[in-house]
Amino acid sequence: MATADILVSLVVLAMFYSILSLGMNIKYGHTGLLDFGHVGFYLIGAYTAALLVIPADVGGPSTVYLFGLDLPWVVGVLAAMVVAGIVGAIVALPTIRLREDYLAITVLGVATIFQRIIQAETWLANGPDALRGITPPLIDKFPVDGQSTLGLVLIALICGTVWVLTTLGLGRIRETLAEADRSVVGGATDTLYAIGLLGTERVLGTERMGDSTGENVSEPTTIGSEATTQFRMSVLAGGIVAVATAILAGISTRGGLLAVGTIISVYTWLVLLAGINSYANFDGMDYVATLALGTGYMLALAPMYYLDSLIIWLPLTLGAFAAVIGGTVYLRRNWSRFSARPFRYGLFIGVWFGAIWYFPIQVLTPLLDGNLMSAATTVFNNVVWMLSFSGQTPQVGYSRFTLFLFGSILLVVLYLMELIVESPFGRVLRAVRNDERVVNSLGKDPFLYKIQSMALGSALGGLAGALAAMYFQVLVFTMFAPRVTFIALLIMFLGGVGNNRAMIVGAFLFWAFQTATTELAGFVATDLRTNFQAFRFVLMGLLFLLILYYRPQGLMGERSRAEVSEQ
Amino acid sequence: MSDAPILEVENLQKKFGGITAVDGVSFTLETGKITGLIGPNGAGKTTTFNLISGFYKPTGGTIRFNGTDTQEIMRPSSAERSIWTGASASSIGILGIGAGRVLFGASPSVLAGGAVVGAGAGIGLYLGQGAYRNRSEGTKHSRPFQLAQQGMIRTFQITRELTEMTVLENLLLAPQGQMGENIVNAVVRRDAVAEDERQLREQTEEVIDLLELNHLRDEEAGNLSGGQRKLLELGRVLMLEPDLVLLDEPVAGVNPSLTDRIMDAITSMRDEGYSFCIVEHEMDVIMEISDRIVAMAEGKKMAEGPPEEIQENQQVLESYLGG
Amino acid sequence: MVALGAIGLSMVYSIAEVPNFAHGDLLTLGAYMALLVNKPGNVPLLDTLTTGGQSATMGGTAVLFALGVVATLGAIYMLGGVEALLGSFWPVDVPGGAALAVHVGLGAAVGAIASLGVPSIIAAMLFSGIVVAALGPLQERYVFGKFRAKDISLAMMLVVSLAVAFVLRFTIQTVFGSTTRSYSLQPEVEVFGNSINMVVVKFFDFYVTGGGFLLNVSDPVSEAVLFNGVFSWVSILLMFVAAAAAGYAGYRYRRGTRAILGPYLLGTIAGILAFAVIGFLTNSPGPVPQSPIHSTRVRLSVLNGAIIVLALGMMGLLHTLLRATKVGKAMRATSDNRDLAEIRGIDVDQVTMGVWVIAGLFAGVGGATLGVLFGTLKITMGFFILLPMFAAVILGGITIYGALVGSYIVGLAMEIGIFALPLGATYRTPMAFVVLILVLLLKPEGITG
Ligand SMILES: Nc1ncnc2c1ncn2[C@@H]1O[C@H](COP(=O)(O)OP(=O)(O)O)[C@@H](O)[C@H]1O
Ligand SMILES: [Mg+2]
Repeated sequence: MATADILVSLVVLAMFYSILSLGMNIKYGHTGLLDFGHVGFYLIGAYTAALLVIPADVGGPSTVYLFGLDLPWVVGVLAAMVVAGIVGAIVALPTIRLREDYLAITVLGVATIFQRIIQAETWLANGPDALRGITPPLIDKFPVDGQSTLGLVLIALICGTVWVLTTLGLGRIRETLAEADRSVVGGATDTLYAIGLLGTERVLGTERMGDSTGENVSEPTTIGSEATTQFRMSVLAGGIVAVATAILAGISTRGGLLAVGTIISVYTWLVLLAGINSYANFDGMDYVATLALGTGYMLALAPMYYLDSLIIWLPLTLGAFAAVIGGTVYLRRNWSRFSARPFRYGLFIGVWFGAIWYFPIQVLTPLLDGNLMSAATTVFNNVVWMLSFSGQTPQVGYSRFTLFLFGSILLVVLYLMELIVESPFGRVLRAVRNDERVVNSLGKDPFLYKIQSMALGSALGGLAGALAAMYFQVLVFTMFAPRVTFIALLIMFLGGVGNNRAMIVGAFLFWAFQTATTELAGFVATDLRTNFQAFRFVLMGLLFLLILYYRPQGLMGERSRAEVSEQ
Repeated sequence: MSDAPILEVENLQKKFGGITAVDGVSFTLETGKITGLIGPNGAGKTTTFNLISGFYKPTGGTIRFNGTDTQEIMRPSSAERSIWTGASASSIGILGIGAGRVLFGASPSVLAGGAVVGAGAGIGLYLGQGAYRNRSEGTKHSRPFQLAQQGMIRTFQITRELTEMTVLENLLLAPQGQMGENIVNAVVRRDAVAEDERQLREQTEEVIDLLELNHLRDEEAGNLSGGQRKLLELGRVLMLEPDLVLLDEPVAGVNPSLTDRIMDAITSMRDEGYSFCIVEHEMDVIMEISDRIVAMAEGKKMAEGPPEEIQENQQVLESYLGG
Repeated sequence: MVALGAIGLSMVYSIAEVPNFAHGDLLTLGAYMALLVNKPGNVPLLDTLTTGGQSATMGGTAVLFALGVVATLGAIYMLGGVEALLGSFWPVDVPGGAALAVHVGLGAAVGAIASLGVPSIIAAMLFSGIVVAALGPLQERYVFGKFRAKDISLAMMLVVSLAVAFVLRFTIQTVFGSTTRSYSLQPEVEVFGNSINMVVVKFFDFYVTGGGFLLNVSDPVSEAVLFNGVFSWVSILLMFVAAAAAGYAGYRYRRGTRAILGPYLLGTIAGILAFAVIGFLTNSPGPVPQSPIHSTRVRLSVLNGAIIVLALGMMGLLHTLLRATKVGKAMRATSDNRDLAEIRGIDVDQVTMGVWVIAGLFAGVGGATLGVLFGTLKITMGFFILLPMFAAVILGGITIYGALVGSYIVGLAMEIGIFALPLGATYRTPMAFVVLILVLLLKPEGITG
């Protein structure tokens, strides 16, 4: 698998886990309902979608299931949400009045019952064996290379969406910079933003460009109008990109695709850089220090790569790790800037680590062999992540389509959830979390709101499940262990409890960690691999405890309400 | 404004295990008047409030609000009951289908039978648990929100504000029947909701001005002082248009000048036709503002009458000195 | 055997106010710790110190001995720091040195039993009980205690304990890998010169016939009939009446007192005794009927019997501790109301640590027991027993005695449920929850609470 594919699959996983955690966040973050059985609704969504879209007779004698309706995915996904939502409400009806700990345990029990039903009832969904034969939408059309009309349309769609998402992200970054009043860094970002908008601000923009020193305060009456304008501009820019892509790729399949893919990929990388830069707000010293640490961690792993004998590499690796960790701790203790914002520095070390892995490490072998051409190709392929290459032919693979699809869904879901959370309805939910009795005394039935919250959160869980069915194409009951709930919780606490956008951050951090450790596990001796994989869960648990203790509000914390109401 | 009392309490009783916190209290609150409820600590005033507002289930006695038994007001509607019955019938019905399938195979008649039996069992289960509850907990209801919807609003002695929400949000929460509280409206009819919200904000600003909380509007309520919290609770009441307001020690910890302003606000609201029942320890304040006084001690009503009369009442004076 | 775990869980729940999701994994830990003694050759790292499967080399013996000593002293240390090691928690005043000597001696004894007892399963249980008793409180000290100091909500405590469970489970998996293991049980044990086969099951066959009830106990290996008795309906009636009468008499005799042998306990014991005695007196041998109305076979080995006796013994000890000692009284007070107990001068923190030690002890032994009963050791075993345990604890209303009652109800429900309904064994755990949900719907505060 090309390294870019690993990156893409990381992003895709993070996307549907974001949705899963958004559901958890609605329940716990906004309403205060601790649902340890969240995985149950994920399961319901996954199996509902699977049974609706699977053809009636795909399995042959070895695969038995209740029915396969061969319906389109749209129906499957929507049905998954509806069914999961309804089941969520039904489960909530009797349990929601219980004390929080009873509630958590009871719904955990319910989720376990769901899982056991799937496991035991062979007629339902192939029992303990995997349910196979789930075909994701349009997969037979891929990879596309722009030679057919459908291919062109798909590519244009994908490219346009990626552009919209990236530009939206960039807009957020710019806002953050403007708020922090860091116009020096903002200069480059603004230029990038101007490029990203492709001039659409001339058509739609009410907003002043290029000067981020104050005056950005919008009227408090028009809630979110600025955001809407941004959204429109980004979408228009995306549309332009889509059309341009179609034209270019239509004119010259190879050259056009290559050009568009390169431009979009480079744009995303630049935006990513801008984002990291704006978050970090580093100066030269910081960059050097974190780069040194990131490289140090990578080097510490080196003995594991290159030495075969466990007896030799284990102590070496551990020793090297002890050294770099010691260095980190020393820095944290003695360098005031480091200790003030440890998460920022930690993230940055992680970014360096990832960057080193993504670029230099991948070409180490060809470089050492003196094969410069191959090394350059690899680097190029990794940079132009949009395209996958079959030999010399640039293509857009199915995973990019999944990325586009999930990204759009995530965006829509996030938008809707923000709407809901910022509405008076969301206000009542937060009031329920704070103190039910007040809500009660003001003539609102807390019970009703809790049920709705459960239904909504569970529906999101169901949606995530449907997407999981689409992504994995195979469902086994073991995929729905309570561990999934744990991960959703972890993501929620990692990002920020009660903060929808933070779910995405949390999901990305989690899957970055997962991917990194999976890659590492590849270098561990085979017989120790399971131990290693267990070990990373230990690390994860410890990390969780540390977060719960030192930052129970999560890395990003809840968005300040004052800030929200100012908009 | 009618002459019928807005609230009639008759023989109200509440036992907590061995303690009888409220012991056969009867009084009426007159429409458009301020009634003071006084008594030493532990007299049962807060408990009485909790009973009236529906937070506790009375052990005995009746409360009539605008002439209707509050138990009647809080009774779950038949629609709600049928939803519950339907939900349990359908969920157990599905189990029934599953069980039928597992036990007897998948013929349509078995599945239908399973569904019917399951649904029946579900209804039975629901009715059964209802009956069981009635037997063990009594048939009393505790659904304060329904009373609040009918126009009875209370504040809490130990303030209960939403600590993680700002002052502004605390106030915005209060009004009933907001359009955006419906999740569908919140998504589909955004413009109307925004308009609704704008009007609400204007109203909120007025209340904030009145309570002099301007500088705190974006402060989280958890960071307020005790007196400020009292004000916030009062503010929530002002955001509503209740028929009857129950205030539990509304000015404890509030500075004198602000106390005066609050009392002025209450009096002018009374003059507009609202009815109040106020628990307060500040004798000067309560005697001045109240039209009538009910005095309690040790769960019983001790005296009732106009303030001047109560001030002379020997028993009341004694209980205050003794307590 | 849910009971042993459930008791520990409910103690932690009610006294330390931690709904501990990690408790199941504490049981798993216990099960794997027993492996150290039972099958040291099967334990990573330790296997380099063993010769083949089941016996340890000098090095291995030394390691086990050291572990035993350290664990014992550690558990005592957890009770109250250095002072506890010097005997501060003893009911009588003794010079510190003497107490320390006794403790060290105790530790040495445990170490000796562990290291010399290889591969006896009983020694293994003792060893894992002690080790987990020392490890369990660490959770309180380094995690839950810290979080409690921050005054977090119950929901957050649940999340914390879930994280702890995660760490614990995967630490075990990191060390032991994910292969399924099992104990090796010695079938023959010498008791007073007789060799008794511990493992082979005996059949307890119950037949219901028109004339009464027949119990036939047989040894499937030797095909010897060990016991055979027919109980006519009259005699059964008599047994029940006698049991009820004796039980009630016992209850009356002790009613109102709060001695170790309280009214309920005495009543129960008297009832069971009366039941057994009358049964013994009134039965007569009879042939196994050809067409009984209903028949059931229960398989029970001597080992299983021994485990039941062991569990009962531990519960008895705990009961005595709670009723008859100052520590027990403090524990009960803390369980009722933590703040009030603190005001009344009870060292709540120390009580809490003591509770964790006991919970750890029970979890260690319970885990090893589970390993024996299940036949295999799996990483997830603790988690799956955790769910019924929680069901039992909540059923019992989060009290220690309630947990006992709850355990039996849940255990019965699990067995009867899958037996009465034609459901696979997969549904064992769900049955526990069905009971729990039903009870919560009707009576949210639990049965005895
Ligand atoms: N929830 C409760 N449980 C047990 N006792 C209570 C409860 N609420 C109030 N009480 C008891 O009822 C009595 C009256 O209390 P309260 O109504 O708060 O008095 P007041 O408001 O007049 O000071 C007190 O003795 C108090 O201990
Ligand atoms: Mg009071």
